[in-house]
Amino acid sequence: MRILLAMIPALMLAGTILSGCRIERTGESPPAAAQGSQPAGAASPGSADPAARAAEGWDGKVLPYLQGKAGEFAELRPMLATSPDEVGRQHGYRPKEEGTPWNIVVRASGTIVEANTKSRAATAGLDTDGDGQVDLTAQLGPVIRGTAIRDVLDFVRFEDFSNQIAFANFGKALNTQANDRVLAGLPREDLVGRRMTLLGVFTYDKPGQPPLITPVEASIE
Amino acid sequence: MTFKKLLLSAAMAGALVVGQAGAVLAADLIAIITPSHDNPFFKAEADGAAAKAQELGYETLVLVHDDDANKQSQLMDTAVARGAKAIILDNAGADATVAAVQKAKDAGVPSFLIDREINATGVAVSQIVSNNYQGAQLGAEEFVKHMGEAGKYVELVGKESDTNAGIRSQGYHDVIDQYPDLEMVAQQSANWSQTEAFEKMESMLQAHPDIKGVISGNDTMAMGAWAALEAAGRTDVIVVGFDGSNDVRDSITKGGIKATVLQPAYRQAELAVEQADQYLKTGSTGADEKQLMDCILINADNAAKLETFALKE
Repeated sequence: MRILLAMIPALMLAGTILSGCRIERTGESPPAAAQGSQPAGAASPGSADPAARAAEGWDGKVLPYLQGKAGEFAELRPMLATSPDEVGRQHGYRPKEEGTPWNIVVRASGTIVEANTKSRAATAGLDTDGDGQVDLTAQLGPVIRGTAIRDVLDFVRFEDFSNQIAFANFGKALNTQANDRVLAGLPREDLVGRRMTLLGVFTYDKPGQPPLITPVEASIE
Repeated sequence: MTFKKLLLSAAMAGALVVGQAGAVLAADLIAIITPSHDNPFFKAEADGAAAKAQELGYETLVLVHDDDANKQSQLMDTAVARGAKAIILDNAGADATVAAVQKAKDAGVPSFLIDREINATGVAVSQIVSNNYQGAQLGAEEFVKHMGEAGKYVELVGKESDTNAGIRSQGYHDVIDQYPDLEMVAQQSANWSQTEAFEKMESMLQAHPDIKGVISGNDTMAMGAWAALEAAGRTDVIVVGFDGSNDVRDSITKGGIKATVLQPAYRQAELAVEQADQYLKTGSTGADEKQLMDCILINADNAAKLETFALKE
């Protein structure tokens, strides 16, 4: 018993030392290359709170970047089948060649032919070419799948975050911005038959299937 | 050039190294250090790395640290002493490993990390890890679907010193917690272990006989949980794992476990060796230090195409 008790302060001390080390290390400056390409704003590793970073960067960096990158879905859709890399290079981003799919920004407009608003991961299926079939699925939240918004930003690098958890939190915070600013204000009732127009991002990970788009601008008329 | 694969226990490493020193041939040596090969995931990594290294003309030294940071540190020293040109490492702890990698670096031996990241950058040359958060979200979405967005469930979490345990759990909860009718009634760590998961599952099942699902941080724990559920006659319980092992694949095709998430472990190990080779030849890998590789959902639709942590086209 005495030994056990004696160990407690030692363990606590060890814990303090370990956590102390960790803070010191994560505080080290990133390598020169990373600093050189380090943008101010949205992805700055200096600001600790991912939610605050996402909120601050949204209007000034994220939206303008996406607006500038977007292609017309109707034009890109046939190209995706034949030359996805070309579409990706012009209207998207992926951090490296292998092991990560393209993330692509599009503007699209279509008639809602399918609506799933019972699930918390609500979606609307849009027909963009008038044949009555779903050509793309728009996420309506509040649960948003994937991290397409984060992953299409060429100024956000995994390396700039201390670990996967911090990186994931930033992706989640961007989704929250999209939900709070855009999706939460959209109507939920009687969607089928109405027209939806959006600017959004999708991860091109399921070729041949209607892409799952996270809108960053959207209206339903 | 003959390919030498030495699988050593740490206890024997020192003695054998001395014994082998005179016999080493001219080929450059790459050390491959992973957790125990008892988990087929780590065996696939070691095999993938060794095969690629051999293909590129290296000799290999394959070692296991059994998730013991001290043992890992000794093995890193062994690799350096053996004159390894590079170390491929699946490490034994995000914090504890930093010093060992730094020590090897100071001795002129670069490390290329796979599977698990460390809490520092600029120490290892590459850190190639599965996109655990993305994978966990895929697994959780599948879990939610099978659960019908409602019901009680338990979670088996991995080893705490491994960032992957935390990130997968967070990925699961970032999806599952959005559904107010899904209720987690217990959450326990089984340290990635099949036998521990079996025991934990038995006791959780006793305390909560009304559970409908189990979400597990890896496949070995999912297998342990499934064995306990089978023994209790509760094969109605939905189980989802993570890794993409052949064991879970077989369970899925037999209608047991519902889904898992494939980490491209074999390719990841190959890629680390390719980057080590390029780094040794050119001084650069041409890639960022920290690299994510996406995971793939495995369920009844595609399980048949899964083999040794890779999906056949």
